[in-house]
Amino acid sequence: MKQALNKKNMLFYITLVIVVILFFLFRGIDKKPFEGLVHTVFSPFTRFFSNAEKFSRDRISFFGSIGSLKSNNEDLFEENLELKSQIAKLQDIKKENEELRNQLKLAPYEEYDLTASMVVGRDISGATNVFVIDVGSSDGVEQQMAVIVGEGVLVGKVTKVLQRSAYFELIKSKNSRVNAEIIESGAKGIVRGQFETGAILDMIPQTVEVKKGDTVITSGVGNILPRGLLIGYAHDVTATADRLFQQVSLISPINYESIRMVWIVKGAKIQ
Amino acid sequence: MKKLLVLLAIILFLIQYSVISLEFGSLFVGPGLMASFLIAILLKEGFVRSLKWIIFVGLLLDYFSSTSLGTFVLIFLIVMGVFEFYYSKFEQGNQKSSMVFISNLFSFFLIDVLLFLIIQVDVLLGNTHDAFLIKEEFVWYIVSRIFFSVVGVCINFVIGKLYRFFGMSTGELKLGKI
Repeated sequence: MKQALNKKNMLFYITLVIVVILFFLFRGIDKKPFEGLVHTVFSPFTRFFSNAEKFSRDRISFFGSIGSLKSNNEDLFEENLELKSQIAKLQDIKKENEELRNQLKLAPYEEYDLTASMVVGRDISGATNVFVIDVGSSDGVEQQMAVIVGEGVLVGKVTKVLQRSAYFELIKSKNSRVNAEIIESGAKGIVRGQFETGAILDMIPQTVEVKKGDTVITSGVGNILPRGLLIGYAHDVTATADRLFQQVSLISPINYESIRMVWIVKGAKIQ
Repeated sequence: MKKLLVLLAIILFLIQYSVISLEFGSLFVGPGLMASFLIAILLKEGFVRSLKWIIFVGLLLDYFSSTSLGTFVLIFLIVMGVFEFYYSKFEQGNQKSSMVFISNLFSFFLIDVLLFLIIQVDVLLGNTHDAFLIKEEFVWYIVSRIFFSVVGVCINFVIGKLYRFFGMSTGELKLGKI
């Protein structure tokens, strides 16, 4: 019995030593051996399970919202009418804008080349702001590409690309840095994640007046992300410790926990 | 039987990765179901025979996380080693649901602590990681671990039934046997 116990302890310690050596050997390597292959093999199954999750979530939320459907419907109807009238006015302005641009011989507007993608999982280590999507290098996805939802709301950047999948990190992650601009004042700064609960716009000069509700977009500086993607709205304004700059906490228009479909901005293209 | 267990492990992983972590939010992201699977196997097979499962499950999780290769293998090795030591010394043959529940709960906390420590070591050695264990609501963190412990009891029950169905005896941890 003692012999068997010693054998068991020996096996445990030998395995532990081997694993620790392998851990330090592979530490810091961004892509693990055969990682692309493993993700490719699991890709159809992760897609199936995340589709099943989305399906059940939609059904459950539908039944849960039956009580408020009627009032929501009435609100949406009125909002729809208001939006239709705004569209008519904007089309007029658009036409006038195009005529002016032609007169001044300015380049035409850029459009985004988008790839639709589904969120199929999250980083299993518990990194709360890292999601996995079902498109990869075979779909033309590259690192640092913007990840958006809706009509152009920035949610994050692609951080790691495999053949059939990719990881993206939310803008509220502490490692995230995005060049941004406040539309109302034109002030430029950097949006970074803070304490995993939100994002702040930093490096805004003290001379700039920032009001609650001001719109923050990507500035396009550095040509990493295209200009004009909505990041959020200004909430609180505070001074930095050295009192040279202002920091603005941002409110995002979306709920990050409910992200299921995203678009990858593969690059701006000229019309 | 082994193929069935491999299939079960993969299904549990997919449920953890693509369903639970998306449905219930950031506090339910983690290796909860896989740890419960390993505990159930450990209770049936003992430590030596469950080593291959520890390595298999650990590598599977390593390939779907941003941590270095070998992180989860190391964590599970330590946790299962501690668990096996405690079980063989104090709770020989005890596989009551309450014992399994407490074992699962303790293992999850130990996994979280080890993962936090390993990530800190990694950061000290120059890698960057997204924040971990900075949870907004501690109460929901406890709720998520209790949830996984309850599911762990169910997994243990299912695996026990599978063993009985295939006529296999449990391994080293039965009373009096090594």
